Amino acid sequence: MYRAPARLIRRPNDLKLRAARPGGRTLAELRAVADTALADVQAEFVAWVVARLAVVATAIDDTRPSSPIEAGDVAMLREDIAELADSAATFGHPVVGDVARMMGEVVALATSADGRLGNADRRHVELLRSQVAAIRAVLNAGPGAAAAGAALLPTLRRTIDRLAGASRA
Amino acid sequence: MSRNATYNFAGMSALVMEHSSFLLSAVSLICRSVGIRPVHEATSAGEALALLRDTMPDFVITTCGADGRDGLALCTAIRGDDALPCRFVPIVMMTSHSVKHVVELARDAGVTEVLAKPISAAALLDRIVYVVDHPRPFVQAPDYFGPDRRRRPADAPYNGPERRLNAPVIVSAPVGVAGRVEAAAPPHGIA
Repeated sequence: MYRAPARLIRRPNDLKLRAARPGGRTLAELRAVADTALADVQAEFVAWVVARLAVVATAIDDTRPSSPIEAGDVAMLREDIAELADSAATFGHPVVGDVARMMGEVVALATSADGRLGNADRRHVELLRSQVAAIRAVLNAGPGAAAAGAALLPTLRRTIDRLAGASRA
Repeated sequence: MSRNATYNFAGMSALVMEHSSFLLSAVSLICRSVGIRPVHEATSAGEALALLRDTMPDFVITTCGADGRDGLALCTAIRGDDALPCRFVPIVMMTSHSVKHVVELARDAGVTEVLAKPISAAALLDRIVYVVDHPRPFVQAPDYFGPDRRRRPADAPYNGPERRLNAPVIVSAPVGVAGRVEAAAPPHGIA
């Protein structure tokens, strides 16, 4: 096994010293302050998601075997969906994040080796459309409808698993 | 960290690198809300590195990116450039791909802490507080510079394969020293 000389560098904990100055807040207080600040931008987030969904929906409508969208556009679509999935839970919409993550799975299943949506058929497109509709419904219904949105998840999961099974077969 | 411990982040600064403009603004907002200012924002590794040539943030918070390359490249560049004043800065990497392989890549690039997306204010603050409370010594080896990857208490025995040629020589580097570490004398076995 390759063995290398190592030097361990210890430095004084300057950050700890500075953070310990008077006027600090407990971690619980800091969390509460940050959560309040995030809540202020949640409305902006919903508007942003709606705009993102429009982009995604247009791409899905273009998903036909007769006119496959370019590999570069598929990559952008996947990035849009990943961004949606990553940010939704941060802004208090975990169900939207879960559905977006599932959309990412469906797009991955539909993507062929050349990076296009060459494996997409009617089932993929319909599932993606239903997922876009689910996200819109959750957002329109407001935070109180999260439970109803969450109830959709097992059905979407089963449909994706069936699609994945069919792809493998 | 005790439940009653308090933290004053006023006057500390951060650099946030995130491709998603909305997540970038969210992470910056979380930092600013607890007093971390200024928060420098970048949407790519190149942009972040350009900022790091003129600033010395106390924390770097970066995304891993869809393919991992951009965030890992930023970490590798920070740790690998001994001309950068912030070579020792704690780096928190946010990733959607918290699989073992990606976490190992992040660790080997010199990331201090990994944070799985979706992020929450609580999780991000937990990581920031953790790096404040538990600074890790840095290892300087021919093929690695970054936080000690052996996460264990200093007095606990290490049971893995011994890849270090010598018992690590401990060098105390004063705060404010730039990335280049000057040891009093090179230890035995180190050129």
